[in-house]
Amino acid sequence: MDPKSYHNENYLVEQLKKGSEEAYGHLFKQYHRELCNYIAAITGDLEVSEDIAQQAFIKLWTNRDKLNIKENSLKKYLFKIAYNLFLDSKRKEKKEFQLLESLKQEAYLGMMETDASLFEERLKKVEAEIENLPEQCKIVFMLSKKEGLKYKEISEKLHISIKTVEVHMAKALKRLKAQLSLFF
Amino acid sequence: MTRLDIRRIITKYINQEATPEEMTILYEWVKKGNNQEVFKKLVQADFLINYQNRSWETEEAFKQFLETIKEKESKKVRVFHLGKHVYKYAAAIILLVASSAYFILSKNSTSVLEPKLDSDQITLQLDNGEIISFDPDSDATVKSKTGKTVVSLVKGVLSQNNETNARPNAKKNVLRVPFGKSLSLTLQDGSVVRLNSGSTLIYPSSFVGVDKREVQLEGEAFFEVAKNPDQPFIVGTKNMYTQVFGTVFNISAYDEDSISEVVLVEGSVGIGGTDQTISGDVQMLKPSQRASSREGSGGLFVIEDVDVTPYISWTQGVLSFENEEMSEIIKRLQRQFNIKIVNKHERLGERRFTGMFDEEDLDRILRTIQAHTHFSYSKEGNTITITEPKKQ
Repeated sequence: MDPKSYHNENYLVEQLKKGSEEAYGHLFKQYHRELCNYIAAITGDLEVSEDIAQQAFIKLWTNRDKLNIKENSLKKYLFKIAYNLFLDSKRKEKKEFQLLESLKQEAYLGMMETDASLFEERLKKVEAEIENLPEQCKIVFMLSKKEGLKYKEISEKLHISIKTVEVHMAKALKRLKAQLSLFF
Repeated sequence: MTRLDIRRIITKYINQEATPEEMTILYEWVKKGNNQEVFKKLVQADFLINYQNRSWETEEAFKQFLETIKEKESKKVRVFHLGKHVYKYAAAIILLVASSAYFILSKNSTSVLEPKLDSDQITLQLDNGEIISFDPDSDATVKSKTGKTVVSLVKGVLSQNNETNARPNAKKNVLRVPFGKSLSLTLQDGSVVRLNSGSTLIYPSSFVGVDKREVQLEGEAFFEVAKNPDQPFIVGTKNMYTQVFGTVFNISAYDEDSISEVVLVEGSVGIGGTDQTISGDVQMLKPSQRASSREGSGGLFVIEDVDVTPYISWTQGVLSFENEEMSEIIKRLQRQFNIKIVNKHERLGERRFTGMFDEEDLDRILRTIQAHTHFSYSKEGNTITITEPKKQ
């Protein structure tokens, strides 16, 4: 590979450290969309996600002198900054149950590191499995995940107890996870 | 705890529906055996459920990015984040100062400090001795009896208008903020002071015609000082004075705390002991430095580099502790929540904690600390008693 190409990560990092506008342009092209998608899956809020992604790029720029990126870990570095910014905005949970939050972070970073085609495959698998959920379970699940309703709102809408909602949601997640285990 | 129960709780946690009790259960569960892996797998499954491949305004974002970094480079603006709030201090001076009851600038003014804080009202004693009180939670405009002064409180910001310019030797106003409240005050020169709970500020109605802008503080305050090189701004406290050369800073100096401190956010300030004069031995602070003085240290200061965020987070309603002893935390909780806390669990007082809370719920804070260490507490009226954990 051309050592002076931005596709060469070492060269890219070197240029990022120098503050090259072109290099940052390349960084945006390469990671902006993916980073926004990634944060959106975690926060569920598109505007917040764009904001966090933007802050992450700026932070990387601000700390460019101190950039200490190991071989091929630029993406992880950037995504980690973004995740930490997300945590900062939810400081309460972070400090309250640090262990749970750090496990979540490990889990999310694990997702980001998976190979793109494998990731696509898993996404399709999950989508298919959602279709296969038992009728009532699927209705509850869709109201929560696609419509964004709280458990309480779902229970009121469907005239079922919150406990029933909880059980359906747990069941759905377990089934989806079971499908994924084949890949993990 | 059946497997179904814990799966139900994990799912609730992931969907942000878990109660504090459930979070405690989950926290204990996840520490055992292979549970971390189970938890992570469920989080990942949920991630895939939520993931959607969208298109984003990458080019627009990059344009904005370029604008932001150019602005940063040209102005060297210090930006720091507190939750969603972004501050940009270009020219102002922010200083956090805390101190206690006796003021260097008015050694004989201790009598002014009475009556003591005993209500939930914010009180302002005008320079003519008249006392005006405010309910801090509602807006109000009050005219003094003489009609010469109009004081208005709008959305937690107090400002004062005087019909005539005060004479240089005008007596001072005394503003008291009760425990459990905080308040911003705009001074005549445009400087803004945010007073933390249980604090008192003595200030003149006007700085016109004086060569120094002098205020006196007991308690804790965050200053954004309007620039004016011809009129230095000076904050006097029990143990020290702080002279501002154009800055943003926080001072904490409650009488009951053994430490007085000044934290500089932006600009430049000089710190001195109470018996020193401006021309005397002044130590300069740089931004992100903290000067602290222990009681009885004979005016000696320790200056260290700090992250300013935890010191000024209270201005945004966030309670923050950075490796702080429980005994100090208890004092702050008492002020914040206007409550009495009796600690009968001596060893707990020495334990140190780090944490941030943006919710005004004392029970939640105590329960969170309980998750890290064992103690019991009970509440009776306005008093909380902390005891050693009950034997199981």
